[in-house]
Amino acid sequence: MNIIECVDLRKEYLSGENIVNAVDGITVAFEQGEFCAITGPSGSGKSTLLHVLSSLENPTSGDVIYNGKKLSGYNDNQLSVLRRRRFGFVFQAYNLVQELTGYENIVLPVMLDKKKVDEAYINKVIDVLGIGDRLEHLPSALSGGQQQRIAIARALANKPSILFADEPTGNLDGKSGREVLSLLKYVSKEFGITLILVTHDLNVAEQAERIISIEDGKIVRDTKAGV
Amino acid sequence: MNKKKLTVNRLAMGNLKARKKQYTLMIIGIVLAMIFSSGVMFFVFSALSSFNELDKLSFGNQDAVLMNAQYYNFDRAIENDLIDDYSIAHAIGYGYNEETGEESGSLMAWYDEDAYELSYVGLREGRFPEKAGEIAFERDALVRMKLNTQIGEQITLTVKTPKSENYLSETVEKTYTLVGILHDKRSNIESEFSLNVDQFEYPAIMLSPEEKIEKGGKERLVAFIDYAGKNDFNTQWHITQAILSEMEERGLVDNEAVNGTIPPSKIIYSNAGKHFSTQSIQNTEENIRMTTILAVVLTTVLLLASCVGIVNAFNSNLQERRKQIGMLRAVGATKQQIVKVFGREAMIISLCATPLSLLISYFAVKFIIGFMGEGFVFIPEWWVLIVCGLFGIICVMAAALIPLIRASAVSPMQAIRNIDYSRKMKNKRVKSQTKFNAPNLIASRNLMFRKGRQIGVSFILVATIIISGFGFAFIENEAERMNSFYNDFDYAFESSGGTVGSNIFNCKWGVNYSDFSESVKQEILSLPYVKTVGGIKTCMANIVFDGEISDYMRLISMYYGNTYELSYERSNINTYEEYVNQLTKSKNKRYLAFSNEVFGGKDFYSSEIHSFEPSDIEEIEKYVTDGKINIDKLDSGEEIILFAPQKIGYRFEPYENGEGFSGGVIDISDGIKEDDAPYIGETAELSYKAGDVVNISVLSSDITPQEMTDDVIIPDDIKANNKQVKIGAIVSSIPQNSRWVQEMNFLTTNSGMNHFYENHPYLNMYITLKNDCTEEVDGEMTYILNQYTSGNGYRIYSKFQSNQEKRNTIIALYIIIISVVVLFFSTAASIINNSLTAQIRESKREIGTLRAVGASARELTQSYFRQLLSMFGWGCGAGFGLYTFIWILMYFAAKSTDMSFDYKYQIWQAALICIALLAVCFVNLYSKVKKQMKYSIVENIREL
Repeated sequence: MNIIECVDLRKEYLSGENIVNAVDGITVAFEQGEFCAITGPSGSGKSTLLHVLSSLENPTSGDVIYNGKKLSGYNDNQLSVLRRRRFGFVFQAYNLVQELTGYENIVLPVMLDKKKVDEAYINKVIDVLGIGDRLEHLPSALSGGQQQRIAIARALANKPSILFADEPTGNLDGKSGREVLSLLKYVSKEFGITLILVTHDLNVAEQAERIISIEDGKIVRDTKAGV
Repeated sequence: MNKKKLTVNRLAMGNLKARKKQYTLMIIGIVLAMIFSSGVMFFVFSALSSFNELDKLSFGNQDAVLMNAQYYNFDRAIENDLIDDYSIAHAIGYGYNEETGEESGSLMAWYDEDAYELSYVGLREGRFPEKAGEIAFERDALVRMKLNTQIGEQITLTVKTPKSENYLSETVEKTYTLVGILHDKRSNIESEFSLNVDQFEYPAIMLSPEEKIEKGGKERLVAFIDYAGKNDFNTQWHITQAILSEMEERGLVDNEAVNGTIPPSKIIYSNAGKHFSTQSIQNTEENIRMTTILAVVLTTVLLLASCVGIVNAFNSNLQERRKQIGMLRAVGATKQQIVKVFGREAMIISLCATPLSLLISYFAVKFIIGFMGEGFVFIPEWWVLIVCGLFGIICVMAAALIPLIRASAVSPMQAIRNIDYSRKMKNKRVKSQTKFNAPNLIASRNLMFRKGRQIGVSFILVATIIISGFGFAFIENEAERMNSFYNDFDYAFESSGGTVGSNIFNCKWGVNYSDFSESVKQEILSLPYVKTVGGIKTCMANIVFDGEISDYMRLISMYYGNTYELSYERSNINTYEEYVNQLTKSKNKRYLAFSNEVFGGKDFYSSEIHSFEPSDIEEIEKYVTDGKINIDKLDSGEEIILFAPQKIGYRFEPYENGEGFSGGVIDISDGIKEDDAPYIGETAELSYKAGDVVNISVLSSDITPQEMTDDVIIPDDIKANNKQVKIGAIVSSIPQNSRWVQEMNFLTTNSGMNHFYENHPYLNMYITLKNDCTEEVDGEMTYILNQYTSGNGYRIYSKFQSNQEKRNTIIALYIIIISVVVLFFSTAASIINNSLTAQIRESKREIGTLRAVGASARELTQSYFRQLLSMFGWGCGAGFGLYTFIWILMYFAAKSTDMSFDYKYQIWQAALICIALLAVCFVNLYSKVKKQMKYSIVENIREL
């Protein structure tokens, strides 16, 4: 069953006087619980595809359909609610709120949703990510790897259906990168979450069940592991 | 390829061009800060100069005017360091209009070249006389002679020729062409120093230096003197005394030469013996000192506020500038190169902002002063503008240096990143909240980590609130004080006649004193604009007692009367009883003489009868405490109104140092006040009731005030008009009004007055107009009324002019205080806006992150608004708290020292300002957040 899909998706940018087709008519679907890596060279449009899919950016044309509903019909508030309840994001630059502690960053989506924190679940996430001793620290006191783990925990806090990760290991050293990746894989399996990950690192992409290669805004290859 | 050389100027200009919008806003901010501070300072100093200029035009630029200066040795005075400079006006005639008589005339003089400057003779219109046959008049001199000559027309005068201090016996008729009207000086000097024409002859008519004196005459010299050094009032006073002593040594002191030593700095000596007391001089010095202190404080506060404003405007894009500096350093620019680029950039900005703001200030002040009317002259004080300009440039340069110094202290990469904030955060420890409202928590953390900004905003808000609170209270107090003397008439003017010379009998009027007869009243009434003319007459009247006098009368006599001989030594009196025993031991010589020779040995009390128009008398009906006012009976002289408090007390308060006391009669009809209670020595009830009959004796003599010396006890020609009159009504008190007098007096109608003193002239006249007064009507009325008062040194009260003056003063005060408040207001608004805007710019990524994790626009706005509210909450709380505290402190300090404290607790303007400030900041904040929301989340998050 498709959790999210897009149909003839286009995203154009103005670069000086030229129009750049970052995403050029892509139609693709993702299944529930799938781990998919989107890969391609710099400027191929992989991150833009992720941003449009995850409603961080509006498409120029085409549709994103989540759970059978077109996101083009959502207003800003509805999209905010969708992001805080159904989507989780992990960025390359971690993007933690500097004024909040590790714990506060983790539970931020729950608090924005004015819900009660599921302590058992959050504790489990924290345990899995191994960040129990960093919760009282402000992000500025944490290493890159630790910040990214907090970011993953924040992305998981609301039990999302999809986890979008944009070059999650790009800012980390090899060891930390590998650890973060296996954690992402583990949590997506553990919690049954669809993981859509953008990377230009083939080693990272190879860990996925499905690899979509993009060039010049178009899908040039869509392969499943073992196929 | 562009082969133009890359210079510092090109880099700086490139920077400016690339950020045109940002820099335009910054320049506007700097211009605004400078406009307010330089504008207010320029206004204050220009207004001070304007007062100074008007003072010089009214009294001259000299320290003293010396009449009959031909007797004075100026060289010796210079040798003795008494004077620095002098200049001469040569009086070669005394001209007058035959029709208006000799008294209406003036000395006619031609001026030495430098006398124009020293006497500060100023033209209202036309020009100075240049050749023989030309003449210029002070406007008042024309009015006194009732001449309506226009410039270019001819004037024929009867001219007496001086022969030093005397005149030749023959007069000549001379015809001149009027070429100029001068600013009035003679009348100003006369009225300011209460002189009369015969005591001081200031040349109010100017002739050409080519004019020759009549044969046989000798010029009378009028010298304008500049005292040695620029000295204070006390020194000037001593120099005046030294000059007089020198003249005394030479036997000139009784000569007319001494007559008019008139230092226009308000120390006056004349034959009339009138001079300002030392106390008055000290007060004047104190006032000048206070004004200077106030100006210095105001200037400092304004400069500081504008400095904060400029630095703030410049720092609005501080972070971005740091990044720029970091990037330039990363590509190899040396510190010197960076200093050059940014210094040049700051110089270009200040060169744009400074002249623009000074130009706007100049024209704004010119416009405001022009709008404020005749009482203000626009005299630009260039040095104020120059100081403000230099200060602005220094502030801009200093503001430009701040990011440079900070960026130089860290590595280029650290400068590119916001390392300051990250460093600060690294050292912070906070406890995690398990349950929180995300917008509120982020807001409170932001406030916690940016305390410096909070303190800055609070400080400026506190200053705004305190300045606004006290400033507006001050203006309201001034406005109230000015409007508290409300008059229901349009014009009032008074004669210089009166009951001078003695307070027991009435002297002869009309010798050297003008007065207003019934015909003057009718003449004024016939003027087209005039609706009513009311007059007031005053004459001395004695109440003669049969038998013992009452305690009430004794108490009144002890204070007001001239009954007792003041033979006690004040410092030896410690108790009220001692005072009464000493004071009432013997009656004075003049009292006993009148009692024995005029009143057949009876006691008496010298009082006054004031008479008014019947309509005015009817107005006081509501204050009658006993009896009833009957106008017919007042008119017929059958009845009179007694104006006296029902109950009085003698307030006797010994000084704490045991040397004397202060004492006086107070009205205690409404009970004794708590403050007075310990000092009331004796009380007494008014013994008169309505219906009682009093013996009134009005004494008069043809003796003139000049002839009334200490040697004259009872003039030979004393006449008594004795009347028994019934007290028709008693009035205890009348709320303050300039027309009524409070004491133990009698009131009646003007017709009633004739029964006590027949055809007594009016002392004061009150005029109401048919319609509302306009500028033209006021000009005409003042001109006409001047003809009746000219020469006696009294000024005409014009409600229209008085209201205009009041309005102008209030407007000036409002302009100053509003400008100061607006300056603080704008600075506060700019600090808050800039810091929040900068924060929003810096937090672009954070906004994106929050949006990515599900925060809506409303929640983001809420978080920033919460910060804004918190900044205001602290600032306003501290401001209102401190204002209240200072106000209470001042209130109790004034109360404990018995000083008056009239400032209301005034917070509504400050509250309004804060609300407006909050609204402005909110709108700005909302628009900035909304702008960020227009970008996509990815654009928010993306790194530079």
